[in-house]
Amino acid sequence: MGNLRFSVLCFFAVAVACCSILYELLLAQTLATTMGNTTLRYNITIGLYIASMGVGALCYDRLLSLFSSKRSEIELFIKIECLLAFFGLCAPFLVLIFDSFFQSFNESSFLSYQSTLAQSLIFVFNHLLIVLIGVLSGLELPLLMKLASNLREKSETKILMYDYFGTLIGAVSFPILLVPYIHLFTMAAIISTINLLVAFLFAIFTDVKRRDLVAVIFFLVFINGIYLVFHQNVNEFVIERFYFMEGTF
Amino acid sequence: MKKSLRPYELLTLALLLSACSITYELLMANTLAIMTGSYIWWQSITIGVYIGGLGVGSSLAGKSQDPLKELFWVEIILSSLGGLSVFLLYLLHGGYHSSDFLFYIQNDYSSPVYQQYNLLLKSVFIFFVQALTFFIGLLSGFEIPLVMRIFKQEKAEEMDHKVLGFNYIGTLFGSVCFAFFLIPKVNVLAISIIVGLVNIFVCYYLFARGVIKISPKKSLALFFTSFLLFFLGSNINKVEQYYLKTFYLFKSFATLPGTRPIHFFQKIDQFNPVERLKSKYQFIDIYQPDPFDKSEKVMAIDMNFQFSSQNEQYYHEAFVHIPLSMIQVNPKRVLVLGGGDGLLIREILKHSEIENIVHVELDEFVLDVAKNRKFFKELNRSSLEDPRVESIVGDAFYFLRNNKKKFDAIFIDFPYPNSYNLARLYSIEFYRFVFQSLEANGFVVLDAPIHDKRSEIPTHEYGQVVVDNVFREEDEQSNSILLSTAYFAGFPQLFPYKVNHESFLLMTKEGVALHYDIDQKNLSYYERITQVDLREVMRLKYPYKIDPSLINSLFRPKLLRNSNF
Repeated sequence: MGNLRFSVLCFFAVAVACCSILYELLLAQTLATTMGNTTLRYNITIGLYIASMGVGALCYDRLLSLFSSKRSEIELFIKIECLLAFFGLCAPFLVLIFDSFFQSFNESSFLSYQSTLAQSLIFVFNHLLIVLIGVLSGLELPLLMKLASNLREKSETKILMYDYFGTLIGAVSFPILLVPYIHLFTMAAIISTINLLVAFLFAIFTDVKRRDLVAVIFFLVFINGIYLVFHQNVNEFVIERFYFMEGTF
Repeated sequence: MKKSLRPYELLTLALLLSACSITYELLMANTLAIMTGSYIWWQSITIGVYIGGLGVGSSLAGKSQDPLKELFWVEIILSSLGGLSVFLLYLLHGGYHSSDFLFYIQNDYSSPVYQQYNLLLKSVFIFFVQALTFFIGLLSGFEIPLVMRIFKQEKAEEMDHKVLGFNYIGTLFGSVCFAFFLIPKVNVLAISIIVGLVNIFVCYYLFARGVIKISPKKSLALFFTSFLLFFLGSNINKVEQYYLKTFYLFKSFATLPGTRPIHFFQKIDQFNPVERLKSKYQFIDIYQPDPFDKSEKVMAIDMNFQFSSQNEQYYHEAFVHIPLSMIQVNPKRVLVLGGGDGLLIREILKHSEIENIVHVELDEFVLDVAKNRKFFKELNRSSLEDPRVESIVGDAFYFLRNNKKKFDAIFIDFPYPNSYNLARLYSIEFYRFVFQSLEANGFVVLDAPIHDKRSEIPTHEYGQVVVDNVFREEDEQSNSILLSTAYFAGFPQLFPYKVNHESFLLMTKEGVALHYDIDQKNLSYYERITQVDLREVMRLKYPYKIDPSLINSLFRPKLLRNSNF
């Protein structure tokens, strides 16, 4: 297990739990911009998130074999974090883009924005995003518990406690510290970057041999970096083009 | 010998307990948010304290040798605390409100002594409320580790992640039940008692299955807790009425000459009951603020004052007739967003040149009440039944986003933005959609909190006391947020005005002339507003800055300051 100490693992538990809840809250807030009814969106998102985590936890064994040939928890953890960072970054943009895709259709077309077909597709797509992030997050905790029990006996509940604290930090800082000051899209990139940093640190501490995984981390950080440099322009462009449909009315 | 629980029983237990657990949290957060009017802070802090409690609880739970017995005691305490949670919140909030007001009327509202006392009261209130939340979280935090230890005792194989899974599903189940079945249909006090009863049921179940020893101590605790919950359960209406009357009526009672505040609690049963109607979205309370004057009734939504039957005309006349006399163009098609009570529309209908009024209201229940209840029908003179009015039930934001037609005038009557849900109705994106739905020579008028520099005299109108009257930096900030957002949405002409403590914002597109000689106009529309009131409109100063960094956007919300709690 390399240099990984129990206390460091606890720190990672806090960080990834914080990031997971933040992805979902961000998604809820973004969905409120296109689907309306903020309270309902939050309730549904949190509910689906928790359910998907449950599915992730229940199917832990089966999903484990799906993701990696050898049952290597360390590599799996890094893979999950990379996937989460990627989808967490893209999700808000995809919501807007997918929604705007239907706005461009004529009123009479069967795919017009108001049609049941379009609305159902948008609904399913948005909720699939929530479920995807939820299932990936659901795999984190059992993984962390397994890693913890490898390091120290009977430490599952301690990891659970740190997981709660991570969720707490995320849930409280989101509406009070983050939303009023940072643009939603920029926030997605920041959280994604933090997530990747954690994955990278984890790779270092556990002395991972898989160079390709580390390369993926670097690549994703690079994408985040590019976005963050131009974030104001990108945000403005995306919102004008995909939310207000400027240039298409 | 000692029986043991089957795995499926334990997993169902995990599911049930986590459902109860999340329901307590949601209940506390929701009730508190409505009580204090500041949704975001209270929702997040309550979630935070609750999850913190969960964390501490789960770390403390690992030590016991007899997890079943510990689970029993945890459930007993949890069902009493949780079952009583809303009752305790009512007690604390009612106490806070009455003490605060008592001290207020003995001192000047702006005195540092009162401010200090108010701060102390607030801190005490917050402390006890969050302590309650924390303990409920703490006790709930014990549950999952205890269930896991019970499994280990039975030597069941790797069940940890199964327990987690059922925990998550229980949480989902609880939150769905809460949002879709409980909150819209059941009284909040009743919800807390029902959930408390579920926790107690678990104890009875453990007894019945014979997995724990039945001792006199346990039986007594069980009996006592059950009795407590049933007793409270049979007095729900009474408790709720006591709380609502204290919240709404104490102030006007305590300021009546010749009464002592303590008489309030002696006479509380004699006051007319507060009528509470519950819709899917909000609470509507109708009460009689003056115990001796039956004519005046007040309506509040989510504990926020909306209008008084005696004074609402000032507000609605100022809302409708002042803009219409300031802008010379005769509107034909008008859009009204919000204002489901029909009072705004009553004033608009007085103008015969208006041919069509499209009215969008979110809450179908409010429309129903406004059309059918005698109190409302008399006040709004059946305005919603007028053939010129077309009522649409739906979200105003969504309506505007998909709207292709243009209107000559848009009236926006929304609650003040104290949550992110409402803040989006004051966002630049919303105002851009408003802009797109407005004719070139049309106008928009909205009811918004705009602070002015004239010092306000504290009055006891509407059964409320205006405490806030010193213009502060946050007030200028708040004004600036609203006006900057409107400006950058494309409205170059902004005219804030105020009549009788009610502030409005009139805005138009480029090149629309405003006529300021309103007090010379035809006063036939005004049943209440006088020439004096109209002259005031031009006199007040509203400090603000136009600054792009203060824009309230959906993607980066900024809340307006709202003095409530």
